[in-house]
Amino acid sequence: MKERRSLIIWIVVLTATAAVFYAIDQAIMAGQGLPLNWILQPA
Amino acid sequence: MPTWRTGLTRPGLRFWAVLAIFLLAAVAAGSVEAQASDTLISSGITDQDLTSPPVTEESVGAPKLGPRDYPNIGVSSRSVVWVVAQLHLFFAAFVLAVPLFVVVIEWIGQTTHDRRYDDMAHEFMKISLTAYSITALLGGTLSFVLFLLYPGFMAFLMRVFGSQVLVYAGLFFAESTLLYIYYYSWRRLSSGNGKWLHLTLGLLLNAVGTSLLFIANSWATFTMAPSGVTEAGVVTGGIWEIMRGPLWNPLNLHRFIANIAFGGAMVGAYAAFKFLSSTTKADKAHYDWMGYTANFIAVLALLPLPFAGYWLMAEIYAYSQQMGITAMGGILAWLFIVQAVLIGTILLAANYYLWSGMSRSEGSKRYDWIIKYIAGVLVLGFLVWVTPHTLILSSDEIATLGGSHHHILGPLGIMPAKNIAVNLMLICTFLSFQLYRRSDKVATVSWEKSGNALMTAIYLVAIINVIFAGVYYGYFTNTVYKVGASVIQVVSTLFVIISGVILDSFMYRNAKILPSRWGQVSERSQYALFALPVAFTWLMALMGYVRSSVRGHWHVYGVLKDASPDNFIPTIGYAGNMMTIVTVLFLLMVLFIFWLASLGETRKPYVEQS
Repeated sequence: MKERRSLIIWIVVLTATAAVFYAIDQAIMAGQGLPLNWILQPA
Repeated sequence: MPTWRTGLTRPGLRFWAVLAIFLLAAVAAGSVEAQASDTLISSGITDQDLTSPPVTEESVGAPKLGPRDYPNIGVSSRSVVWVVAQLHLFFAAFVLAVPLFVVVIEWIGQTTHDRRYDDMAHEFMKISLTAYSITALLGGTLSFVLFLLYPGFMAFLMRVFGSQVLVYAGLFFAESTLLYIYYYSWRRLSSGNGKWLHLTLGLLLNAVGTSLLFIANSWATFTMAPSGVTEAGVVTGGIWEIMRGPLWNPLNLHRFIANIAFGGAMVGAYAAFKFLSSTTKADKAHYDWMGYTANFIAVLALLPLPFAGYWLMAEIYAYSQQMGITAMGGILAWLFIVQAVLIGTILLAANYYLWSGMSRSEGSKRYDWIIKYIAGVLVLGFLVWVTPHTLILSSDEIATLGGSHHHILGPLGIMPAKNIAVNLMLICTFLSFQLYRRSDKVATVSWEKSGNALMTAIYLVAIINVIFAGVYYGYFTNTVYKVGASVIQVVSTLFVIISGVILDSFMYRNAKILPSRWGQVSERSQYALFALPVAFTWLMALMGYVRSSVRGHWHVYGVLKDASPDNFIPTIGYAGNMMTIVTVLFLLMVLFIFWLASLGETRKPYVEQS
């Protein structure tokens, strides 16, 4: 029972971590201008 | 002997006498200049009339050099400058880096009241002190060599940077003064307020040292991406505009971090050298601990280094796509494969040292099972990284291969695959580092399990994210997204490193410390500490050459053409030989310094109680 509870908590933590990473990924790809302007629009 | 004579022989009086003469000379010079100016004004002559002929763009722009503007001394001028400049840079990197972490170690010793840290910081400084004079000698030699062999180029640089070079000279005096005071006042300022004064001196020393580094960087980046001048070389901006070119800050960051990693690796080699030659248990314990600290510094600085390099390369592409392609897509691209071999060597050696070092504590048995997986990822990542994209093939070989690229290994030759490999290798190195740090501790906090669950989740998600971003955006979407995807990978890796450091600092607060057997580490592990500086030195010679030669046939890119007989990018073999010669020379000089540092040794090593 205790092990099952630990597993559930871990899955919750894992999902939350994945959500954080997903949000960061989306922010980076949406704001392509940030890094890509250096590359695609040379001075 | 008359009294005034004996008085002047006393050092204090002599100093004041010399100072008075200088002051009088300065006042007299100022007065003469003012009088001359007054005379000119009263006679109706202005400064403008005295400057003849009138200023034109040709007269103040970059000179148009011809082959006769370069003296011939019978050997390749470029090779002479190459050797001297690279040696100067190696030593400068070392002597500027050591005080950076020495101050931190000294501060740790002061706050923890652990005398070992203070002794070790002092010993680190002793090594760098001998290297400091060699740095200055090489810097002077480099100036002579440049002015002798490239007078037109140097005259142009002097005109552009003007009195800034005097600021550099002034800072150099300040650096020398602070360095000697910092080292020689160590014992005198060792307690109470004196210690804090000593730490402040260390901070000042580092502020001056870093300023020196940044000024010298501005000269290098000006030649690659000039700013504050027109294409004809006419100075249009102030010194700040000239210094603040597009590559200045990326190079500042990259060299600052790389210097720390390099300095850590060098003192690590010193510790290994002393460990292997020590005969007593106490000495072995001391130098084992010193090697551990040095490796800690080198690895911690190494982890963010590829990202700083990535920023520098991105800015090079942004400044000139041609320059970026010359570096990473043209003749110099093969050197990036050699770079992969060297960084792979560094990561394997650093990890091997961490795994060997874990065995000092019984607590490391908890983590033994995972090492083989880390080793597997490192080896696979290394193999992907060294896979070239474009091969130089004969028609028969192309026919046998079925095309110019291998049908399975070809996709591993491009950047998305290499980005995955590098990021996974860095994550694994951090994992080794984290386990190494944990191996002699047992957490006592109630939330240990939850903390570990969170850390495992972060590792797992970051690894999946790195692989997904590389594969999906690198191979299945528009090319434009590849660069954005690499930012995702970098952020994922940094996320693991930063969260790992923060989490462990809380989780292992008030942890139970298991005994460590300092000095009982395997001798093999010490050779890993030797491998690190050798690979670092070679790597700096290699990538420094790439950075400099992307200018092609320009002294100052797009502004001042190189008309010397060496105005071409040499063959890879020739460049490789030059780098190897410089690396071997440097290591021989370092061995000499280690030997010097061991002369007249009086240190009483700390005896580990545990």
